[in-house]
Amino acid sequence: MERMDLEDALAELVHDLGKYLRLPLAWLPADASADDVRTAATQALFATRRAGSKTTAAAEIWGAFTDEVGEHLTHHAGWTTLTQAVARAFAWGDRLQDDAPIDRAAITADMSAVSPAIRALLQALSDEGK
Amino acid sequence: MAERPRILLIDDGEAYAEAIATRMPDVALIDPGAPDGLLRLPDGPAAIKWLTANAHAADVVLLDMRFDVPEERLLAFPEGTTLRRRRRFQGVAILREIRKRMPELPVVVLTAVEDLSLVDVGDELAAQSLTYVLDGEDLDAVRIRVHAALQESRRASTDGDILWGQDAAMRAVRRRLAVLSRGRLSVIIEGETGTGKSFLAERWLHQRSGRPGPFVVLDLATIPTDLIPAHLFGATRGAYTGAVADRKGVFELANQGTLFIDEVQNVPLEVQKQLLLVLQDRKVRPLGSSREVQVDVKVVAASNRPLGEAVRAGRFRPDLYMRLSPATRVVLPPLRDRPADLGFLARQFVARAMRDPDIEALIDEVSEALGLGRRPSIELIVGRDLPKQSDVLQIVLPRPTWLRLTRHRWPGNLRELEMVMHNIVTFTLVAAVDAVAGGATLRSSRLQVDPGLVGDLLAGVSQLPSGDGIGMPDPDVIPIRVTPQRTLNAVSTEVERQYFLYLFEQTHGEFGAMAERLLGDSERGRAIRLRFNQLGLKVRELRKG
Repeated sequence: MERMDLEDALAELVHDLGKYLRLPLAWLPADASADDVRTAATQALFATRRAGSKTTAAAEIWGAFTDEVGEHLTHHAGWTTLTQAVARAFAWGDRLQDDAPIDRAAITADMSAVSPAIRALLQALSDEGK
Repeated sequence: MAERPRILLIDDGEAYAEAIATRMPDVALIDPGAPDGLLRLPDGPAAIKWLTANAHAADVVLLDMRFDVPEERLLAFPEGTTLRRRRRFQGVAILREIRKRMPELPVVVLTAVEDLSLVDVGDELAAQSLTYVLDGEDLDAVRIRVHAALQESRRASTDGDILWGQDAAMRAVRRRLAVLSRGRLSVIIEGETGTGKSFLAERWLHQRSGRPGPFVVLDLATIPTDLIPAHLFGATRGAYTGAVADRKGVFELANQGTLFIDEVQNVPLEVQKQLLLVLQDRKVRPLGSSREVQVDVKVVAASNRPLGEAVRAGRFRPDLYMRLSPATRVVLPPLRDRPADLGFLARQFVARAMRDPDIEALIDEVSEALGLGRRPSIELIVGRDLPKQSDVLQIVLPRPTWLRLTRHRWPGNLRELEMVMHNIVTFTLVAAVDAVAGGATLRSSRLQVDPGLVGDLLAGVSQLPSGDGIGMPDPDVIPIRVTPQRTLNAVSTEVERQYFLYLFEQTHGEFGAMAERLLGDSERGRAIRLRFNQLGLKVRELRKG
């Protein structure tokens, strides 16, 4: 796979996964209720990209990405960081199923950590090509 | 202008449309009629088509960068060697198309700057005016940026009372006049009546010149020919029949300031030599006087037709023309050549009409009838393209009436448009007041403009002589050349062909806009394009040419 294709795939991931994992929580008002936080987090994880009649969950976006390019990136130092960030974000999926209280700061931090991890990998890839 | 900025969202996803609609009540998200009913346009072709057919309907565009849409719904992105890359930078392709048509429309690109840093598009966007790159995570930041962009856009389109608009020729005039305002350099301004020559001379050239003296106007269209020398140079008592007292000429009156000579081509040939000497020596001698007065005057000479033509016809001295500095010649385009500005200008003139005390009184009466607490602002809207607002009186032009205005040739230019808009506002408010006086109840702050009124206003103007009535071409006439043909049908086809070419030029090749003008329906661009092909017109070649 060409480096440019890898870069474009990572750029897509920043937009489709990184951005939309964090936006629903970022857009909540400061005084949002626990239910609002839960709803926003559920949307971030399970209705991550919505366009027309198509709704795509974060796990589907990540799965499609790893299927296509994962093997070309595993040797990068940033790959482990990214997969760990994604795992932490996805782990909230189970906790959203029960009625346990959601720590807004913690879930916001985890959802927001994916984008920088993708960007770091993208930057490393770009630096490699220079 | 609407108080709430009208935002056009171009985004393939739905998250922003929902978030803005629910969390940004101080902006009006435009409903562009997307098939899925969402308040956004999902791809570049739909966005460009909508913007072309609805020039000035949006105050600010919010634009996504990546568009995950099928290939046929992507605009060309020459740097995009792969489909993936075209999708990734589709926002740039859309922005380029917007900029070709609307260089002054503020666009906020919703992407992180670092996501653009890998390619040159980041520099491209940074270099454009009224283009802002903003990670859309913080909706408050988006809101602040939208309002700031709108302010910057208004400053760019208006300077106080000067309405530059978005037309490229007017932007060039503005840049040129900004340079020419400096120093004492003479300036020639040419333009049809009503294009704003004296206004620009005073409000831009004089005011920006920093000259301490006054702005003095001499309109040679209103002065008898034999009195022109006395008005120009001054006269002593008894210098000519009727000179009962000494009078200063305009050069003396404008000392240290700016002298605007309107219709300069009317200076009689025998006086032109004297005028040349005054410009050369900066000294003026009043008629009948032996004293010379030193003057320091910046001269702005205006003409409603090319002064060079008068020189070629022997009616204007070439040496005087050269002294007036033809290199500084500025040509103001007629309004009919600024179709993209019509909506903006109409709204500005409606806003200006509000300052008229008579109109203020009418607004107060209507406001009282509606039970509004304070004097509302008024705005012009076309069709039903804006949400109703309780604190705004909306003057609603039916779309066919608006189309009629866009087809009008505006021989009186800005002056005529201002008069028409002022009258539209006045008569629409009067109709509402009369209705209330007759016992009717006003139920809505939307006041419909009577199409018959607009027809009457335009018909009244079209009966006037076109231009200045002195050798100007009739702007309502499109030059069509017909050569003898074998059949009437061939003649008809040739006429149609030339009219289509004319429209193609007028609409910059936008079939949606052509369909709107011909059929009143911008959605029927395909039909127009089909007819274009049937007439043997090659779109690709025309666009190249």
